[in-house]
Amino acid sequence: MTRSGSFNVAARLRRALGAVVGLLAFGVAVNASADQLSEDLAGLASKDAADVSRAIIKAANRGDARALPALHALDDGKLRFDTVKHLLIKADTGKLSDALTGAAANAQGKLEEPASDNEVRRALSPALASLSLSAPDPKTRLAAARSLGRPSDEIVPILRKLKTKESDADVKMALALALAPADMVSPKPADRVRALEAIRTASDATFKGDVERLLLKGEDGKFVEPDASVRAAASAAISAIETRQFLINSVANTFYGLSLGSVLILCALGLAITFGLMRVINMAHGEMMMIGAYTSFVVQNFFIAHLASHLDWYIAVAVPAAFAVSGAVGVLMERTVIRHLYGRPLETLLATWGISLLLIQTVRLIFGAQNVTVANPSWLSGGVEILPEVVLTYSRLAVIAFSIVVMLFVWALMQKTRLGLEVRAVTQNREMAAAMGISTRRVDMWTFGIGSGVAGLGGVALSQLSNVGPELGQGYIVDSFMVVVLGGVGKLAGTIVGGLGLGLVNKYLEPVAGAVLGKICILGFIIVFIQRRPQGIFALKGRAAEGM
Amino acid sequence: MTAEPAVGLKALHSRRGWIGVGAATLIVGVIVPLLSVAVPASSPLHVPDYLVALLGKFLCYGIVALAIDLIWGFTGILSLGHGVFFALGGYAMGMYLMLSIGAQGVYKSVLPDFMVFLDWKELPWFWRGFDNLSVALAAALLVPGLLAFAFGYFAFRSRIRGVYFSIITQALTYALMLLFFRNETGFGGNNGLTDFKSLYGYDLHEPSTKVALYVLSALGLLLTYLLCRFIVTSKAGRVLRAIRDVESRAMFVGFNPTSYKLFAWTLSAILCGLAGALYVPQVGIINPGEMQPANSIEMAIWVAVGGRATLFGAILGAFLVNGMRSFFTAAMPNAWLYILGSLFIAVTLFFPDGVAGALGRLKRKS
Amino acid sequence: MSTSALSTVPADESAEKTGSSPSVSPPSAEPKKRSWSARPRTIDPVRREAVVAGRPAVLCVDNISVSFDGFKALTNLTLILEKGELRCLIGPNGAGKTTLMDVITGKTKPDSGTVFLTHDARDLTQLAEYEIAELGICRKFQRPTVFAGHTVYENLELALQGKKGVLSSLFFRLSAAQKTTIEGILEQIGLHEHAAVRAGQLAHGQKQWLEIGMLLAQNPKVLLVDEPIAGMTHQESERTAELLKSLAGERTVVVVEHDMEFVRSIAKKVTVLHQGSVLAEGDIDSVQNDPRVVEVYLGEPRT
Repeated sequence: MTRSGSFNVAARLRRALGAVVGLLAFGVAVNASADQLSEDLAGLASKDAADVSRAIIKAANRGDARALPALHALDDGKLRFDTVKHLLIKADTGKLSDALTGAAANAQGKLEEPASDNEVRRALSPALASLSLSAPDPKTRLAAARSLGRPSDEIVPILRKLKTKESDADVKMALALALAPADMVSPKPADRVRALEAIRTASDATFKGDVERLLLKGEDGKFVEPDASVRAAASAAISAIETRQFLINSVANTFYGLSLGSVLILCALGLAITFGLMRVINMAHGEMMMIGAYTSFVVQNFFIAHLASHLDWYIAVAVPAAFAVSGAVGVLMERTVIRHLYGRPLETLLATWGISLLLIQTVRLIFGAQNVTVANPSWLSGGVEILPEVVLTYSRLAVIAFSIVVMLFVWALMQKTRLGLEVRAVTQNREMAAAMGISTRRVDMWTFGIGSGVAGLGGVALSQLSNVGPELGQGYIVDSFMVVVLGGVGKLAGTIVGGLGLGLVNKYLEPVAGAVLGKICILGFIIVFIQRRPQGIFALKGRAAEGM
Repeated sequence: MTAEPAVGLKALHSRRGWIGVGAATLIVGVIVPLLSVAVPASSPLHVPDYLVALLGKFLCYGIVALAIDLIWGFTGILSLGHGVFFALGGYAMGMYLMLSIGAQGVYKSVLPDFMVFLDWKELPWFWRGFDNLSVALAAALLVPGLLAFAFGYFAFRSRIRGVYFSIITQALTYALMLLFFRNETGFGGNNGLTDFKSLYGYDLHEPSTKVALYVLSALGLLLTYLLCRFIVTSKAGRVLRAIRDVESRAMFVGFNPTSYKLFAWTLSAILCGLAGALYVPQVGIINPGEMQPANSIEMAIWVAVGGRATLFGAILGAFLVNGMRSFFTAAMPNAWLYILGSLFIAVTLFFPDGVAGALGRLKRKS
Repeated sequence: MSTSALSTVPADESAEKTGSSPSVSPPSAEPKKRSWSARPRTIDPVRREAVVAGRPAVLCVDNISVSFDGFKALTNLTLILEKGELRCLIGPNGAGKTTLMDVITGKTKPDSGTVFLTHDARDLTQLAEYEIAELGICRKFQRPTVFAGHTVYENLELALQGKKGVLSSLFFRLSAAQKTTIEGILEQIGLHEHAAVRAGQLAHGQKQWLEIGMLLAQNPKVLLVDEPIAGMTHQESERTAELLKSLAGERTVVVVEHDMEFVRSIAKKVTVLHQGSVLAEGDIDSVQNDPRVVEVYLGEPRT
C-alpha cells in the first residue's frame, strides 16, 4: 500500500491484463514442467512489487493450476521466502511447507514476505480467477465460477473470454451470472436483457435488489430503465427469484417444522398419556426433557474422558440412559408427591411447578447456569443439499426418524402389552378398572415413569438440535400442552397430528408474522378451536360430566 | 332462626374482625409512616426508607393476593396469568411517568428516550393522553379489565375450566411477555419503562413522596379488602362458592355461571391493575419480566401459603412469601429456589388451607 | 336374570323397530338435519297445536334425536307432559332416561327436535341450562348434589326463586316473605334443626331431602326427579313418595325410578323407554302386562 503511489497504476494494470488476456486467447498452455513453473514464480520472492506483479502475470499466462497454492498464499499473506529465495507457505500454526510441492520444508536464514501493493493485488485476483477457471476439471471450474461473487472490473473481460470458450453448461451459466452485474450497467439493452435472463435462470436472490432498482420510477415519473423489453425481463427475473425463494422457504419451513414438531411430539406424548390417565398437568414435564438432555451431556463427557475412540457412539448409550434417568425421576415424583394429590388437579399443577423449580436449581448448581453443548456425533454432522441453499441436516433428519421410532415404541407399548391394556382401562374408567383388580396406583406409577422417560428421549433429540441449559424445559411445557389440547387426551394419533400441526404452523407463521405474533396467533387459534368444538375435547359428555 | 353468613366467613363481620382490620390499618397505614417521617433516624424506633419501600411493595402484592383469592379461593379458577394484569396496570402508570419526564431525559427530547433511540418522530397513537394522570389511572384499571373480560368471555363461554383454563392463562401471559419484549410494540422492549422523575409534580426520589405512595398503597389495600369482603359475604359471594363447588347445580338452580365467573375474573384483573399502578412509581421500573409465567405462578402460591378463601390469609401469604424472598435472596441466593420449590410442594401436600387454616386449627384446639 | 341384564346393554342395532309406539307422534314438519345456527329459536305455532292436540299439556318433547359418537341415545322421541300429573319414566339402563332429562334441562343439545313449554314460544333446546331453570323446569340429580360448603339455609336461599343476576345478588337482602318461604320449606323437608349445618355434613337421605327442598324453593312448573329413593331407607322412601304425590297437582312431576314397587305406589301414568324411544305408555297395570315391556325387562322369552 505504502509504495503504490510511486507507480503509474493504470498503465501497469493495462499491461498486465493485456498479457493475461492475450495469452489466454492463444489457448491455455499446458504441461508446463515444474521447472518452468518455479522459474515463473521465482519473481515472487522479491521485495520489489513490480517483480511480484510480473511473476503473477507469467504464472497466469502459463495457465498451470499448480501455481494456485502459492498465489492463494500470497493473497492470504501467508507466502514467505528465505535467503535462498525458496518460496514457502507459512500456515496459521507456524509450520512451513514448500509453495509448489506442499511438502514440509525448512527455511534457510531469515524469512521475508513478498512485496505487495495495490497493483500486485489487482494482478492477483484475475490470475487466480483465470487459473482456477481454466482447470481441466469442470467441477473445479464450477466451484471457481460460483465463488466469483461480484467480479471486479478488471476480471470481467477475462470472464467474457472464458465464457465464450466454456463447454460445460453449468459453468457457462455460473459465468453468465457472475457477469450479470457488469452486463446490467451496460449501455446496450441487449446486454442488460441477457444479464436479466441469466439472473432469471439462476433465480439468485442476491440480485433481487439490483433488478428491483430497474423497475423504479425516477423523480420525473419515468422509469429508471428506459427500455421496455429490459423491464419485462426484469419483472420475469423478479418473479422467478420470488418463486424460488418461496419454494426454498417452504421446503425449509416444512423441514424445520417437522423436526420441531417431532420434538414437541416426544414431549407431548408423555404429557398426553399421563394427563389422560390422571387428569393432572405435570408442570415439571419439561424438566424431564431437560434432564434427558443433560444425561446425554454427561454420557458424552464420559465418552470423551474414557472412551474417546468410540465417541461417535455415545448417543447409543445416551438414549437408554436418558430414558432411565428421566423415567426414574418421574417415578420418584409420582410416588412422593403426585400420588398424594389425586383428584386435586390445580394443587398438582402448583406442586409440580415447585418440583420443576427444585430440578432446575439442582441442575444449575451441578452444571452451572450457562448453556452446555452436546456435539453431534460425526455421522450426524453435515447434511444433504436438496436445493441450493436448502440443506437437510442429518441431525434434524435423525430427530424425525428417532421420534417415529419412539412413537412406534409407545404405540406398541399401549396396544400390545398388558401394561398398555391396563393404562387404557384406567384412562377410560378408573373405578371400574380398580374394581376389576387392576392396581391403579401401579399403573399410575409406571405410566408416569414411561411418560417422563419419553420426555427424556425428547431431551436427547433436542440436545442434537440446540444448546442445553437448565431452563430448556420451561419453553416447551405450554407448547406441549397445546399439542395435547389440539390432539385430544390420551390419543396417540391426535398427539402426532397436533404436534406436527403446531410445529409446522409455528414455522410457517414465523417468517410471515414473526415468532411472537406467531405464538399469539396460535393462542388465538386454540381459543377459537375450543369455541368451535366445545363438546369435543373439553367438556365430558353424558353422565360422566354430571359430577362436574 | 336465621343463620345467614357462611361458617368461617362469619368472623369477618364480627366485632373482633372489625377490631383486627382497624388495628392492622392503624399499624401499617399510620404508625409505620409516622415512625419513618417523624422519628429521627438515630432513634431505634425509626423505620428506615428501604423498609418503607419494601413494605410499600408488599402492600401492592397484598392487593394482588386478594384479587387472586377472589377468583381462585372463592370461585375456584386458578389463574396462572395474573402477572399480565399487574404489569398492564404498571405499564399504564409507567407511561404517565415516562411522559412526565418531559425533556429531562438523556436525549433532551419530549419523546421518551427509547423512542428517540428507535428514531421515532412522534408518540404512537396509543401513548396519546397518557400525559394526564387520570387517563393513565383509568387505563391502569380499564385495560386489564377489558383484556380479562374479552379473554374470560370466550373462555368461560366455551366452558373451559380447571387445568385447561390455568394453562391457557399461562399461555396468555407468555404471549404478551414476548409481545412486550419487542421494541416495535412501543413499550420500551427489553428495558421497559424506567428513569422516572416525578409523579404529579412530586419528586419520586423524595422520602416524603415515597411515604405518601406507601400510605396510598395501604389505603388501596384496605379498600380492596373491604370491597372483597363485601362481595364474598354477599349472596353473590355465596353464588361464587356454589359455582366453585358444584357448577352444574348452580346452573340448574338458575344462576348463569359465565356471568358470575366473568364478574369475579374481570374485577380480579382490575384490582391487579390497581396494584400494578401503585407498584411502579415505588420501584421505579416496569418491564416485560413482570409478565414471566413464573411470576404469576408465584402469586398463586402467596394465596396458597396464606390460606385460600379467607381474604386476610391471602394478604398474610403475600407478606410472608415476599418477606422470605427478600431475606433469602440476600442471605442465601442459591437456596431461595429450593425454598420456594419446597414451599409449593409443602403447602399443597401438607397445608392445603395454608397458614390461616393452621392458625384456625390451633385456636380450636386451645 | 342374566339375559335380561345383557339385553339392557345398548346394542348398536337401530331403534327403528319401536315405530309402533302408542304415543301420538305427528309427522315431522321439518327436515331432520339442520345446522345448529340455522335452527329457529321459537316454535312454529301450527306445529305446537299439532303436537299438543288439545290436551292440557305443560311441556312437550317433540321428535327428539340425540346421538353420541354414533351411538343413538334417543331416536325421534316424543313425550307430552300434562298439567299437574305425576309421570314415572322407567326403562332398562341405557334406554335414554337420563339423556331425556339432560335434553329437557339443556345440558345436552339434541341433533334434531324441539322441547317447549306450551305457554311459551321459545325452543328450550336453544337455551342455556340456567335460562331453562328460570323458566321453571327444575331437576334433581341421581346422586344428591347440594352445595356442601354452604349451610342448609344458604342452600335454600340460593335456590329461592327470584332474580339471579350478578348485580341483584350483590345487593340481595332476604325479604320477610322470602324468609317465611324458607322456614316453610325447612319445616316441610324436616331439616329445621339443621338450618345452620353445612350441607356436606348431612346424612345421605337428608341431602336428598335438601335437594328436593331446593327444588321447592325454585317454585317450578315442572320437576324432574332422577332416582329419588336411591340409597334411602324404606321409611325415607315412604316419606318421599308422600312428598312427591303432594307436589303433583300443583306442579308437573316426572320421576325416573327403577324400583317398581315405588313406581306403583306413586304413579298414575307410566312411560317405558327402550333404546331411546317410547316403548309403552299408560297406567301401571297395562304397562306391566304389555308383552313388549316384559320382553325388554326379562329378555327373549325362553323356549
